[in-house]
Amino acid sequence: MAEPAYTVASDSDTTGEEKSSSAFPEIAIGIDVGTSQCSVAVWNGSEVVILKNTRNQKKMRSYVTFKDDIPSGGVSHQLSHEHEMLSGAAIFNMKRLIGRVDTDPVVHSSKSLPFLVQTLDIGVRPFIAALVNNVWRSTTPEEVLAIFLVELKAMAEVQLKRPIRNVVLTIPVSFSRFQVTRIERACAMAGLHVLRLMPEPTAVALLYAQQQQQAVHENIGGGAEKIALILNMGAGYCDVAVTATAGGVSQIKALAGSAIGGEDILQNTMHHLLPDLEILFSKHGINEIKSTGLLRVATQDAIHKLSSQTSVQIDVDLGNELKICKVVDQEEFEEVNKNVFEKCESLIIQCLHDAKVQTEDVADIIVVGGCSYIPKLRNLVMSVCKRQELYKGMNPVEAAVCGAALEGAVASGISDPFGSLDLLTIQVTPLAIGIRADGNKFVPVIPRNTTMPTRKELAFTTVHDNQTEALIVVYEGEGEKVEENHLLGYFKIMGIPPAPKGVPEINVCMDIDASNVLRVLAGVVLPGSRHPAIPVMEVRMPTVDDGHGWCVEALHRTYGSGLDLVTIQKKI
Amino acid sequence: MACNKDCFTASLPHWSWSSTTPCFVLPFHTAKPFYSSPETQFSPSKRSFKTFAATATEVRPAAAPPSSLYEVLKVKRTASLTEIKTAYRSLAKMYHPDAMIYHHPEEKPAESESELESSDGRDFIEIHNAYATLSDPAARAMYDLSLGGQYNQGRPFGFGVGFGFPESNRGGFYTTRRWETDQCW
Repeated sequence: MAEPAYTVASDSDTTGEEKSSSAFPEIAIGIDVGTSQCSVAVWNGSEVVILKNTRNQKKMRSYVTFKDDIPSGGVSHQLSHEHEMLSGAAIFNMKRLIGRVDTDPVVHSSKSLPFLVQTLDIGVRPFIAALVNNVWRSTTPEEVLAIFLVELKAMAEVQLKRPIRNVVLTIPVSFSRFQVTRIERACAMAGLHVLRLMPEPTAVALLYAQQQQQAVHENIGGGAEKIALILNMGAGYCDVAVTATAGGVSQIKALAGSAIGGEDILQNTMHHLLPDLEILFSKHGINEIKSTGLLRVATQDAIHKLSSQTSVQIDVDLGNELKICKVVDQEEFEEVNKNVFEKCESLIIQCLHDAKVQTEDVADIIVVGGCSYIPKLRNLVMSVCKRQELYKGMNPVEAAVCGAALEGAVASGISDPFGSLDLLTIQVTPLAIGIRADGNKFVPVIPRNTTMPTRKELAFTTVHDNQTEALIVVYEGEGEKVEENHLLGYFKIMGIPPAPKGVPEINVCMDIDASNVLRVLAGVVLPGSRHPAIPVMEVRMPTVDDGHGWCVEALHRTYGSGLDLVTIQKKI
Repeated sequence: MACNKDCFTASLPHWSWSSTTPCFVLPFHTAKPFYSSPETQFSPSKRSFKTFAATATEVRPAAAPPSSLYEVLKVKRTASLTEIKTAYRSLAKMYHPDAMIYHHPEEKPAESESELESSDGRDFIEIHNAYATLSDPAARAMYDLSLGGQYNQGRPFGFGVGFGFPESNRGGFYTTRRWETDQCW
């Protein structure tokens, strides 16, 4: 396991401490930091237990309030009322904002939140601030997440009566590698060492693998490979995984995910109730924040009720002579959120397709996450998979954190006499990684859904005679054009021996190890030689964030096509 | 099929990376024998890419031809899909970098981490590549064809299956011992 890319002071004093306690390996805790809620679980030696805070809550709201001098988060802090969170003093939805630049649509949709999300729309990090005594005090999603994690850490330390350092965190499938570094950064700020970052549905897959394993133990025989489709939809993200499970080994076959979730449903519904909502929150004055907050609470409440009722009456006084009095029924709600459900459907179809699995081969359909209570979502999954029922063996809001806790125990080297931890998840890459070549095209070197660890290579060549330098610009994503993908970094290869165009072979190799660390290697070979013409370049990525699209533009302005590459057409 | 001779010849320097990449390339012919007996397999080979690149320039002796994909998975050439899947899973439990922590809990956590880091999970990559080919009926058929051809040609300096070392008794698998596994690494 690699140390996080960023090291902090607390990292240096750990070596001695870890050695002394090596007889009892520290069990890493599992943390599921959701967009809206958060929970912590740990393997207690025989099973996974979910930790409770001092108010006896298993689920804690993910937010940090900056009201007083010392910020306090949802773990320790008691909300006097839901509205308190919506006064502008609290920052929440960190998971939607972390690692995103201000041209990102997800950042733009966050502008209706009570705290300040200001964008300049040029690809820099958004300005995020909390309202403290009538002052917008700036912060960052990393800082907010770190404050929150410190509280979680303290809570776990009190309950487990030992210092906590190692954690397994769940992350959305659609997170870019840059976003992953931001999560690692937040953990480092909180003094936590990330043992694993698990895509949420793969944590659920691990829990499923354990349940299947136990079922096999109980009735001897069986144990054949079972394919499960897992959909995890919370407030911020919708993720899908197809996994093949047997003997405690969960082989992820495909992943798909998008930043779409309960927050989008909430905002769609709010816009439906109040079409000129934009005007209200664009001003972002005290009264407007209060009105939007009231509407938010009322809408959230109505959506929850629609999980069990066919229609709901919404009656809310937003102040400033603005009143909403409306009945919303199930059908209307589904129509308003059509785009969300369509996206979910396309993710499921894509994931099944990528996994090369037919719906009839799927043994179990698992729907978890906060949105799993929405009838439309459940029906939609069942209709896509042509099934009458969903898997019932899991608590929808606890599955991911339990899976993370299992992984925490497995990755800490804990073994269980009853074989309950004889588990393994074989992960795949959620997004393709490749370089810019053939003009402005994104050429994947590691396709998405490649089993990790992996190492793949692709050969490129020069586009100009006597071209001695080439630019390797690395992207992650699914778009055909480079701009549609996340930039991970760039470097230059120098000293290519002069040769006609198309002759030098530039090998680009990408290596992802078991700790999900990406290294990009590039080397040059001339025909007839088996030796690299120049020393190989090795770069650990990501080195930059999405915002550095500018730099790439600048590179193009400076060098034109002078440093371009094309793929070598290979005969198969 | 002309490329197949290359991809199963260990003398091919690492350097040619994918210039002749055929469909069934075994990407890492590491010196570390991963399909050796369980008692010897965990000797960690601390090779980062740097040493890998350095050794790549030496032309290595073509003494040990990489075994077939069937040998990688320790299954018979007649193995059914279920047998292949089972073999893959049990090998994954032993050789996946995550699982290796599990199988060696007595090691100091920090230390084992760094060892696993340096082993890069290449053994598992080979196992997975073998599985990817053999679990796909079309790819397996093509591979079988290429394998047949190769046996007929014979490998330069190689010991074909059944030559060199006697077959191992373990479960009637093909021999997994070879020149490299019998050295003290």
